[in-house]
Amino acid sequence: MPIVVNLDVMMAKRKIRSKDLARELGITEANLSILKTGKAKAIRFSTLEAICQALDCQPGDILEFQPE
Amino acid sequence: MDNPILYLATVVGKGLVYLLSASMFFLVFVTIYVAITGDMETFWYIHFTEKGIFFTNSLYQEVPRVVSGQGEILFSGLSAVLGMGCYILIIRESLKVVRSIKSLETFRIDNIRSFQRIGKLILVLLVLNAVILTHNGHHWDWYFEFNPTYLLGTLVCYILAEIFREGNKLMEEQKLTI
Repeated sequence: MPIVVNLDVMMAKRKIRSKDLARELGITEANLSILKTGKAKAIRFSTLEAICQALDCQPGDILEFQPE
Repeated sequence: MDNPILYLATVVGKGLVYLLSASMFFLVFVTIYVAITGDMETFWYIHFTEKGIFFTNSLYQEVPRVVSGQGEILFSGLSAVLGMGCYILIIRESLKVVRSIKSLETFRIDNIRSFQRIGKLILVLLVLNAVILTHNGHHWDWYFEFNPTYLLGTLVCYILAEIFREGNKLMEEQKLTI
C-alpha cells in the first residue's frame, strides 16, 4: 500500500513506549501494533486525532504517501 | 445473543435431527426387511410410493401410487433414506450457522462454506426426487421429474453464501480499522 505509517518514528522521537501510548489512546497494544506495522486497512479520525494529541504532531508526520 | 427466534430454530432443528435420525434407522430396517422377505403386510401403515415411503394411519387411504416388487421397494427405500440423510445434514449445517449468530460471529468464513454445502445437498435432493423407477411386472421403466423448487433453494443458498462472503470482507476490514 503506498500509504506508510511512520508511527514508530514519531514514538522514537517522543521517547514513548507502545504500552504507554496505547493506554493514552485508549486502544489495545495489539491494535497499536497493527497500526505500527502497516497492517491496518483504515484509521479513524478519532484515533488520528488522539495520536496527534499524544505525540504533539500533525497527521502528515504519521502518514506518508509513497508512490509504488 | 438472546434471541427467541434463534432459540426456537435451535430447538426445532435439534428435534428434527433426532426425529429424522430415528426415522432413517427405522426405514433402513423396514426396507431391508421388505426387500428380503417381500412381506409388505407386517408394516401395513407404510406404503412404498414412487416418491419414497409414505406413512398413513389408514389401510385404505389413497396414496399417489403404491409400488410393488422388491427391487422397486429397495429403490424407493434407499432414495427415502438418502433424502433423510440430506435433510439431517442440511439441518446440522443450519444449526452451525445459528450457533455462530448466537456467539456474534455471523460473518465468519465457515458460514459461507455451510451455505455452499446446503446448496449442494439441495441439489442432491433434486436428483433423488427427480429420478423415478417403476416396475410394471414385466420390465423396468424410469422417468425424470424436474422440480424447480429445489433449484431455487440451491440458488438462494449460493446467493446467501455470497452475501456472507461480502459480510466477511467487511468484518475483516472493520477488524483492521483502528
